[in-house]
Amino acid sequence: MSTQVEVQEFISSGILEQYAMGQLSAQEQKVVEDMAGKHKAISDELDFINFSLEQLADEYAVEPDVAIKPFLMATIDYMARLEAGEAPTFPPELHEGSKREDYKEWLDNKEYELKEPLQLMHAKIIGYTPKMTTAIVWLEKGAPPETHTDEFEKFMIVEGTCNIMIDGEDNHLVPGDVLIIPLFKEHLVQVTSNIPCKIILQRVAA
Amino acid sequence: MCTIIINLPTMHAAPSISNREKETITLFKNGKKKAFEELYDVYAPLLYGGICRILGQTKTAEKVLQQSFIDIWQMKASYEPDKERIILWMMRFARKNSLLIKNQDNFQKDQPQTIAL
Repeated sequence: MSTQVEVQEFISSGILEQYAMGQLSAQEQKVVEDMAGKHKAISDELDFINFSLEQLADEYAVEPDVAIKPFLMATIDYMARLEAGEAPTFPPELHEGSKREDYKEWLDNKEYELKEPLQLMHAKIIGYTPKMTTAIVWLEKGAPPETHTDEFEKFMIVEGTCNIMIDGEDNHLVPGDVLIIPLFKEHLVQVTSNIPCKIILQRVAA
Repeated sequence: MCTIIINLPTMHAAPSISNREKETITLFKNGKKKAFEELYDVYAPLLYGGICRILGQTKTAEKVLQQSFIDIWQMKASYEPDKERIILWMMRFARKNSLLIKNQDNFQKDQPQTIAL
């Protein structure tokens, strides 16, 4: 048996997990420690198991921001669309003078309508370049506070109304309004209409 | 030739998971987004906890979490439920991506110092 195969078999036997969980006899523990001392692949695997088991404890779990999942799903959706042959399009960068008309091509496209009941937040990516991501976002209630340090977040309200608070200051926005969030400023979104607030959201590298 | 001298106990590495989760994992492997979202709901806090321990609770950590789940989705066909618990398989992506960024950051931090010398 080659050393490599032997190491692989040792790893896949499950003994390392048992070692990490303290289920082995002293003699068995010594075998694991000897093997880990001899083979880097084994000590790496042991490190990895220890790392992972630690995370299993609830106290180490950290609830991620609720906005991450909709953007993750939007990214996966966008990658699948491109793979299926959708031609990439390039919505213009938002600026103070931007108008709804500038985004007609995307806002009037049936493909970019909300297709299922909204649960808190939904996003559809309509343009991507390494410098800039553009999405249509639907918010039911709002978005939690966040601060950007390396990208500008830009909004244009399309439907509904919202209040975007920047460092505690209100910005009541109606359809057609554009707001550009400065770097390092904490901001959050509160939907103020009975209907979901539909916005064009852009993240532009600073 | 070398023989492992101990009598390996029965493997307990994959603790019993519910039938519901088994089903979710099968659907996920078959490309069902809803199943993937369910796995995200259950495991994202654990992955994010691990990432934050390496990178701190930062925007970068959020991006690493997102990238890890994109990798998980793209690699779904390669996951072998009989060989490894799904949390361990997912954690590999989280750790790999965290260390990648951490080492990159160290590298970047080292740059001015090198020039200053």
